Amino acid sequence: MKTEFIKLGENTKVKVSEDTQFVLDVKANGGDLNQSIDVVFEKSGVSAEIIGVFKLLGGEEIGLRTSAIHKVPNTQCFTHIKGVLMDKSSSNYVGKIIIEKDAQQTSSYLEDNILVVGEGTNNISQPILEIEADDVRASHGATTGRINKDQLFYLQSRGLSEEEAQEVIIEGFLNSLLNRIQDETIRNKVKERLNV
Amino acid sequence: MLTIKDLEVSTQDKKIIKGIDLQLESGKIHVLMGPNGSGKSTLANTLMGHPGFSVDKGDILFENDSILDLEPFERSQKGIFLSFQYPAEIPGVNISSYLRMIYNKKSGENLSPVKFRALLKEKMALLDIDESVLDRYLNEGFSGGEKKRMEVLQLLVLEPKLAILDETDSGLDIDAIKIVSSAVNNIQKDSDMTILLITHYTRILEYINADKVFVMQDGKITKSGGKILAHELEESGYTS
Amino acid sequence: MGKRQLEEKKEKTTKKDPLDTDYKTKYGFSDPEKHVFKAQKGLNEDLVRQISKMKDEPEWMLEFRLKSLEIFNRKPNPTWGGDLSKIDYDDIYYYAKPSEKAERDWEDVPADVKDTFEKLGVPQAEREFLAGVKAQYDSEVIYDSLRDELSDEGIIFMSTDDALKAYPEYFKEYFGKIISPTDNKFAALNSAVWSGGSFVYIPEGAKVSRPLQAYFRINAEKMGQFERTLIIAEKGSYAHYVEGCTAPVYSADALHAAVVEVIIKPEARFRYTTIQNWSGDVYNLVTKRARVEENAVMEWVDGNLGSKLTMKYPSCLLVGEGAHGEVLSIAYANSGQHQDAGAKMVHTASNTSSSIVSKSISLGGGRSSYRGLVSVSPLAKNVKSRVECDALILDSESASDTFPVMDIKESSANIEHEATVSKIGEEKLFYLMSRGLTENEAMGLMVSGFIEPIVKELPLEYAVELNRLIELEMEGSVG
Repeated sequence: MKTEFIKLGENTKVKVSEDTQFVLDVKANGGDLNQSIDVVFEKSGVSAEIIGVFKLLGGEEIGLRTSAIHKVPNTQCFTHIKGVLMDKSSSNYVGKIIIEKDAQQTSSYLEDNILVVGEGTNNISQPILEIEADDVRASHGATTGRINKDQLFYLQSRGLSEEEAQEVIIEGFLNSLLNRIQDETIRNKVKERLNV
Repeated sequence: MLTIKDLEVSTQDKKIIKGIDLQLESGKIHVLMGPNGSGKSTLANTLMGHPGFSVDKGDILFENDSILDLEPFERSQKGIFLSFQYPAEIPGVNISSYLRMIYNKKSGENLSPVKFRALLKEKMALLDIDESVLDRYLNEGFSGGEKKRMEVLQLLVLEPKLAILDETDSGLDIDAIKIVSSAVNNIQKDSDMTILLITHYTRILEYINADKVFVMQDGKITKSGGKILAHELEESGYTS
Repeated sequence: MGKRQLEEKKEKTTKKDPLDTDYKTKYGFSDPEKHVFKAQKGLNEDLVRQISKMKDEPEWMLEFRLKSLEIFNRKPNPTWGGDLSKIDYDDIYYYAKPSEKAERDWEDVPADVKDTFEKLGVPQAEREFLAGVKAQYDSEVIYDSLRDELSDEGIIFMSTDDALKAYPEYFKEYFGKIISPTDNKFAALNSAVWSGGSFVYIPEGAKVSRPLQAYFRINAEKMGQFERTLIIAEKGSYAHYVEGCTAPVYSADALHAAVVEVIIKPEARFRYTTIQNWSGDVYNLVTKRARVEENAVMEWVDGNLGSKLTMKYPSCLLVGEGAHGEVLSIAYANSGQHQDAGAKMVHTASNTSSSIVSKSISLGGGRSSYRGLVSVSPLAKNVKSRVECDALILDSESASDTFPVMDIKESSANIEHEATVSKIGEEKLFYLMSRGLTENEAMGLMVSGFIEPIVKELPLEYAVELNRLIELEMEGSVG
């Protein structure tokens, strides 16, 4: 699978011509509220991953939209978005999976996880499915929550302070997705951006 | 080296530990047994400072100082270790990096990944844990038995003064119990570690040499004795 | 339907029917020349005034209706949901006395409807009523004795029209307060022309063990287009209200817009179960909302079958600490049908929780959509919410959508949402068929299994009938 680093505009469109990992260049600082990408499947037999990771620091805002649009049979897509929200940050994410009538044998999944660390945060999440073919597998999962207290205690019992334990958990949260990025350069670039 | 005085502990308004006194002697292996719900795990978690439990009365002295006001990480720094009954899964945290981090923190050293690997390999061999585990994430997707062995590996890495093993034997087959027991016996001998082994079954006592046995029932210590007590319990259960 | 055995108790009575729907006597139309109400199409101020006058309503209710009419005229159709573009508001009867409602001949009832009645074992008298052949259903005797029993316990269960007269204070306090006419176009419509529906009052601490069946109460006035239901559950009470039926119900009316308002006081618990199966080209647009106070629980159990388009999103306003709201919803869309259903949970208080489970099935070209909202206000701490929506698409002609929104304005909330869309697995089908079931039977069994978590919450007769109905639908549509 090749990896592509995609800059996001208000209406970015990409067509999947071969197995590709699309790593989204999600801009968190500067409050860009209109980052959108349509990943269109017009060629059968291909698969893609859409990976978007962000960490919003105090007061930052983000608006992100991803769409996996399946027009032909036999394609696969895995969209995975993770975000960390620090104090007073806001995220608005719309994740669509559209499977048109002719796109039989499509498998498309969407996972969207938000880890809320700060206070005074806002997050809107809309995982949407529009399915018109029956021989498909499509699902989505979305979660929003704070750091699990049992995880915090476990790490603290091993000698980490509360802040250190929190850092480890946040890093782990982001890494479990970042480590899926196959291209090392891109992976490191994104990790650097996120201070991970 | 650990003294528990008149301890009462409750959680969410329910009293679980109803007044216990306990003394652990330095360098000895103590076993705490009791039926489910007797408060054994609560005691283990309280010793480690779990925020979900509140000490209503009494004191806990570690090396003659009260630890009630200490945070869990401070207690760990002092040399207390808890092997959890249900270890938390922490996604995305690479085991090898994690172990190196906690080791470096504890020892004050700053071992490089390569040097640490060498150290780690030794310890993993004692527990018959395969190297491939090091690329996985902390406890994620581990079976119960694998998690328990990961707990004991961390014990070997941190080398605490007091190791509290909360039902470490549950979920392990006989071979795993033998391996874990021999690792614990060895480290205990080498470093004079104090052990508090909490268990429901007497099976592990065949492999670990208990110096003292306590029985806990319904939030209180009801019996204490030597190894013979363990055998009696095996024969006739807790209610005699 | 639900109480077939009670059919046997039917007998003529000389007792005055408290739900006398002989408008002539009740409202003083003894002289036909004096008040001529002509059934008319279209909606205007004059019609609204006539409706209010015929019902002999207090001035404030007329004002309320007129203001609502204004709002209805002002608001455009919603731009989301199903296709409402074909509704011609001027071509609809908004009010007609039950005795004047157009009836049809038994011969004109579609064969598949008759067939369903046959297979479900619906008694002939009920069939005629449900199919729109008869205007009245002789269940008044049963209903009366039920009502007397309840009133002994202080429970009020009567038509909204009658309750407005008997208990105006409750209406002044609660009517239109949970769902205001400005809420949406169809709430405004209902507020202008509402007629019929139930009023239920459960006094403090009362625990009603037997479900309150609206079926009998509604029967006396025939299925209403613009029913308005108001339910008040006082502190610490418990009751279960059930309405509708699984057998196809014929309606001559193209547009149904009901409004249900429920007020649940602290520590009370209320369940509202609806099964609707409109046969024919019905637009079924319902606004249902409960306000849930401290430590109280509201459960909506919703089964949507039939109709051309149903838009229904039972919702809970969780305004008191510790309140809990639940929606269990089944939507079944067959050929030419669109079920756009879901739920809304609005958390404005701390330590509240909600759960939504939605199961939808589409086949024969039908489309079923889940539309939902979970929102958490900035001051609502420690909110937990879980949504699970699963859709089964049974053939390549059908479609399914999910449009959930999670709007979380507080940092301690724990929200989970999961949705899956799939078809029936080949291996599972093969497994069942290898045990001797036909393909239809196997599919029917799997569909039943799919909706089982919700069906098991229905009163037994409904559960049995719903399962049977689904089996029938499968037999007809698969292959």
